[in-house]
Amino acid sequence: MLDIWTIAGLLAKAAMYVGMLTAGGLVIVHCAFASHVRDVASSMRSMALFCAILGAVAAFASFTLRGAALTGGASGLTDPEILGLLWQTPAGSALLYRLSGLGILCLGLLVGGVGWTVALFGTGLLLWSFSIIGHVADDTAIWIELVLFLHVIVASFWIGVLMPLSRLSKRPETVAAAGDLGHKFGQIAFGAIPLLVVAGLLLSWRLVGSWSALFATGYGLMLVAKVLLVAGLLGLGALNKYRFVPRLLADEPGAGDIFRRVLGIEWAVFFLVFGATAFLTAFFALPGG
Amino acid sequence: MKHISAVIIFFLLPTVAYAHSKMDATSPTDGAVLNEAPTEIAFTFSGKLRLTKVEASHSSGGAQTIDLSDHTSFTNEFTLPIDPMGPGSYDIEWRGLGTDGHAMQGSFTFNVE
Repeated sequence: MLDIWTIAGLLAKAAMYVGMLTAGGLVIVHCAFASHVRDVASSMRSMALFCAILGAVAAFASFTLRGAALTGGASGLTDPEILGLLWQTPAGSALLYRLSGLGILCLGLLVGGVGWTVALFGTGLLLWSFSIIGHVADDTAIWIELVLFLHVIVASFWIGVLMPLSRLSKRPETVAAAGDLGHKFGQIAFGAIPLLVVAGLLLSWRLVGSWSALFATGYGLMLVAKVLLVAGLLGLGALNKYRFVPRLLADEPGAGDIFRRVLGIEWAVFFLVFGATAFLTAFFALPGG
Repeated sequence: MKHISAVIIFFLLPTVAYAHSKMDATSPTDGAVLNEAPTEIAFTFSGKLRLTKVEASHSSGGAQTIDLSDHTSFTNEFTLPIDPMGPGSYDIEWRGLGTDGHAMQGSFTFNVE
């Protein structure tokens, strides 16, 4: 059942997650830690702009590829009737939120200064788009959409801190700033990451419905795979907080290099999580759905 | 973090929720063996959707795209005309759009003796 349009749609969706969550995360991190990331604010802005453009292109591609999936051929990519039909569904609303959010985000980044707050508003729009489409949007309870919104905000925040941490830990003169940022992030993450996990568990319970469905359905097994990946991320995050960030703060030789390698692994795991999420939201049906 | 709280509060807005659909039944049923080729096929879904493409292929190599011009709304049940292609195996593939924006697809088969 996995035809070329479905596979292309999954890839576009994964790229959209990377672009949108990284762009949004960089904005959140800049707003939360402006004084700590001053030395890398310029490269954060460039990266956020690049990711926002990637997210916008991928979001548009994901939408049109859905059109192709509906016709089973390339004609669906541009078929005005099919795309018009799609536009009237939550897929259209989500695309509108995403493109508007990314547009506002880019505008804010280009303005700079107070524009970062404008970009944060755009980030809110694009992250909220996840709650108006997908399996969670099928749920009639509003709280589940808010839980997903919270889940996505925290995930984005986490992804957004990786690049500034990596850049800061690269140069000897900013290694201490990397340690400081890592320490501050760790303090917030200590409260926020459990929220991410609890939100994820709540969503899983609500969507899957039972332990048996978790291990007896494709959706459940893919969800388990995602949970294991996130558990790996939590382990890496804990390593950073308790081992590598203190080494950075103590200005130990080579601490920056090891820290960046761990951040690189975190990035790779995040890519896998994005892939698993794209699969979960696009390909698998909910148990009993 | 003040900014984040402001954004969360701003988006405490209700959202319309939509239901997923799945194929509940078909006529002929999946795997059925018939004495005579049907002149119509039917689908019943658990929720409303809009069929966007239905193709019938036959073991002899013949195929036809089913006309959906009379079905331009979201609904649960579809009855579609099909040109009989004689004895053999029929493979019906469908694609459709759920009201939740999900692109869905599926298939079923039946045989005519």
